[in-house]
Amino acid sequence: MDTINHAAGADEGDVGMIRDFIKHVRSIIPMLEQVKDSIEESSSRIPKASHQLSEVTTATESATVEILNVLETMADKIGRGEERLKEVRRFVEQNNGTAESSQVLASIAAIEQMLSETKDNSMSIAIALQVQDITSQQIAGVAHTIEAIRLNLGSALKRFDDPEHESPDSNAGRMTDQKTPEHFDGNARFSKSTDRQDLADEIVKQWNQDHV
Amino acid sequence: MADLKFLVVDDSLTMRRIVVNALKAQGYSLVIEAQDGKDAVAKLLSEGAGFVITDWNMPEMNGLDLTKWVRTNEQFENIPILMITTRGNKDDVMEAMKARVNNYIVKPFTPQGLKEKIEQILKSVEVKSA
Repeated sequence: MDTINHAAGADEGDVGMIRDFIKHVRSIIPMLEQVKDSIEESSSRIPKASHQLSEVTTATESATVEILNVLETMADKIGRGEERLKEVRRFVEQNNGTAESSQVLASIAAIEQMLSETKDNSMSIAIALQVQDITSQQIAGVAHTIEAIRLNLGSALKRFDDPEHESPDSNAGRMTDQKTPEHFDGNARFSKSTDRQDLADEIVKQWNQDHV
Repeated sequence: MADLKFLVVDDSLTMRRIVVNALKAQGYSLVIEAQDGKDAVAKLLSEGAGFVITDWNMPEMNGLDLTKWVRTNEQFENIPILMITTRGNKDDVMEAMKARVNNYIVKPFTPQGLKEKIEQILKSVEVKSA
């Protein structure tokens, strides 16, 4: 060491600094090992999280389809009810003249109105179920993001052991059940605002005027 | 127009069901379905259709590529195409129009909005062919 000190022209102060630096680096190594272990552990949980997100989508789609089935059955029954009511209306109208017939016709009109409103309500429920498709695209977007994080963490871990390791391309090692960005719109949102439709309408209108 | 055959293309079973129900409620009972663009091409070739309603983001073949395929295919090039998608940015709509969709709906759609767009398209197709 003295030879090195002499050769490098270092005085005792420099040597002390170098010793402190080496000591500091040695104390950091266990911390880095802990960080590596922690990243490995967190990274290993991501596939399960992605799978759980995928299951959420499957479950909500299944529940939504069940609701749609019930709504279709309801719509069918309402339709048949309306047909029956038409028959009753025809019968009452053909036998008009009794004191009660106008009252019966008023009641039929009220029932027809209720059935029509119920049909509209069931359609509104069906339309609101579009939220399932939109949220599933948002979930796919989140799953894609955490998969990208997993790949980057994996690459960082490899660089711990091999500093020459290069980052993988974005699809290498990707989980097979993952959707790629072409399959979903990560910016999908469920909004009742007509702003985006208004913008689309304006563009379509302008396009059609320019391309008559 | 009740005998007009619709092809509804969406990878979401929920969306296909909702669109099909909305069409049937409007009196269009001839409706077939496809789960992506590739499936839609197969359905067009095997069963045909007079009107396509398609999503944009789908596996295998997306709605934009389906539109381009239809427009470059002599047999189907004049089929009306309505895109229903979550993508509502200006650039998205422009890209769809360049691919020659007839009209564009941003999800979530309303039955009234769907009806209006179908009627607008059918009217413009009639005018062009007159």
